[in-house]
Amino acid sequence: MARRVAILGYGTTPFRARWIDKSYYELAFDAAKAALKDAGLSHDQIESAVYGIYNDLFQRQFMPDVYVHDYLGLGLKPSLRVTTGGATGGAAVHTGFAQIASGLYDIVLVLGVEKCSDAFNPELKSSTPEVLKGIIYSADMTFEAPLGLTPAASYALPTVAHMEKYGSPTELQMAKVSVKNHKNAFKNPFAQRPERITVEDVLRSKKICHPFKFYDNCLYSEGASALVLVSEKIAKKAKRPVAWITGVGASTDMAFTGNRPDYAEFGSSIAAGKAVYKMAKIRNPRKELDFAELHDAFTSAEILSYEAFGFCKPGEGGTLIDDGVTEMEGDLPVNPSGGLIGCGHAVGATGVMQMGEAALQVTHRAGKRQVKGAKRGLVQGIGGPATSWTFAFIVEGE
Amino acid sequence: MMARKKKEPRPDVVPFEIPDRIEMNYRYSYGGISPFFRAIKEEAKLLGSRCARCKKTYLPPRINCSQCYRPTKWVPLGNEGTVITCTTVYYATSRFFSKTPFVCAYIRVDGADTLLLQNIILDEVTQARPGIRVRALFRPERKGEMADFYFVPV
Ligand SMILES: [Zn+2]
Repeated sequence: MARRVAILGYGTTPFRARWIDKSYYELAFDAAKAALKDAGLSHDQIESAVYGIYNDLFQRQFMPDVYVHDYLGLGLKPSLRVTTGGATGGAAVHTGFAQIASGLYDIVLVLGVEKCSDAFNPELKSSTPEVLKGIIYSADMTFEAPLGLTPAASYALPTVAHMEKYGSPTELQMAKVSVKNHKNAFKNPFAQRPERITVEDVLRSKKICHPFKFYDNCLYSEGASALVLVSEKIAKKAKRPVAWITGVGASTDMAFTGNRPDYAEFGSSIAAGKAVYKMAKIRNPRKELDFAELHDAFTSAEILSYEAFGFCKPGEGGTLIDDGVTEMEGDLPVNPSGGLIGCGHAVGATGVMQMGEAALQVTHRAGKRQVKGAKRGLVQGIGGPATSWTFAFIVEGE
Repeated sequence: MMARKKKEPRPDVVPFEIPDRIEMNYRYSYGGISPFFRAIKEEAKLLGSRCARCKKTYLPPRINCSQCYRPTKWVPLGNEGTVITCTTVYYATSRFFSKTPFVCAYIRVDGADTLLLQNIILDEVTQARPGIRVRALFRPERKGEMADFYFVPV
């Protein structure tokens, strides 16, 4: 039987387009220091560290984790890095959870960090196309990368298939997700891009990759987020309520994506959702969840995830945003943090930040973005070609 | 609780940037699927791989069937297929930045059970949509790579 695992501490840097004044290990240091302070522990007490860092090319450093580990003063303690695309932070939390649940350690630091905007195209005088190039080395290099695939296309292709199958989500429904998440970000002091925009602003913004416009995309961010995960024994000594990870679910779909039987569904999220609900004993997610932090890498991904996680029937995700269900004032607020669209996507840090946000919600420390009376939330991280990986968690209060 | 608020950079640190680059050269072997790329280069033909037991034809090909772990056999495929899903890319990576807009589509080539990603070249990119029939065209100069061919509407 797995041991119970608590989130005792959370710390994050603000997410920004670029941290010119800090290296990746300096950002990691800031997040670790803040998480340890929140946990009331010192770095000497950490027994093991798990690092979520996605892309070596972003950091301009292979094996960046080993240098972070030294910089955090954790020399001679065990450490491990995970990298699973956009789901890297989620995978790091999953690994840290397993280390405690198994009885191996009692205090584990889970730290995600990413610094992408040092990548720069000198001819175009822009970071973005070079960052995209760095990501596309993760696409299948033999059959797909040589055709000009982009991260947006990797989400657009299942989105278009879903629209073809169900007639939804519509571009208007997607725009509403963008408006919501940009708006939610105003209440998050660590968010990169709070903006007051209208659906017309979204629909009229520059085309990026059909059906996505500029405002349908998440942000490229730099930042670091850290959690201190502990066993029940340590959590009991805490002088304030802690958050518990009561469910984990993980799935990896076919990454040679043309081999999938149905391109219109987020298969890994459906599978991870079933697993996470089984472990947390959730039968009716729409009623039993108080909020969710979903991986809105693109607006349609949030809507397809409503369906994958059983908030509604397949094909009906768009009606949840139409009916205001997932707004802050709705029954089931999604992305109170602003999500990847409003808060940002500092890849390795993202899933860790989402878990920290969920922990703040269920311990009622989320400030202005607090979901009233939040007891239980879902967190989803997805990554890889056409959402190959999903890591899902249920986070609950005492 | 949470991290400290946004702070001004430390006054003793003024950021200093240098241009840099990571480079790597390869002689990449296609391994078991070498016949697929050789057929593209030398014969301008598409090959699939078929598992007789599972009655499944793979394109992209694989020399092993991932369902039953038996070896597959090479089978010639035609040049036509159906678009299953597609998108038009308006903003691309550094390497493809000047080529926008272009279409990426998953195509089920007739006789194949899996989907192949390819570019479709059309007069108007907005014409790309699921369900249309397309035909492969091979470029006159070929290196043995996916960019050696593309699809056009039938
Ligand atoms: Zn077989």
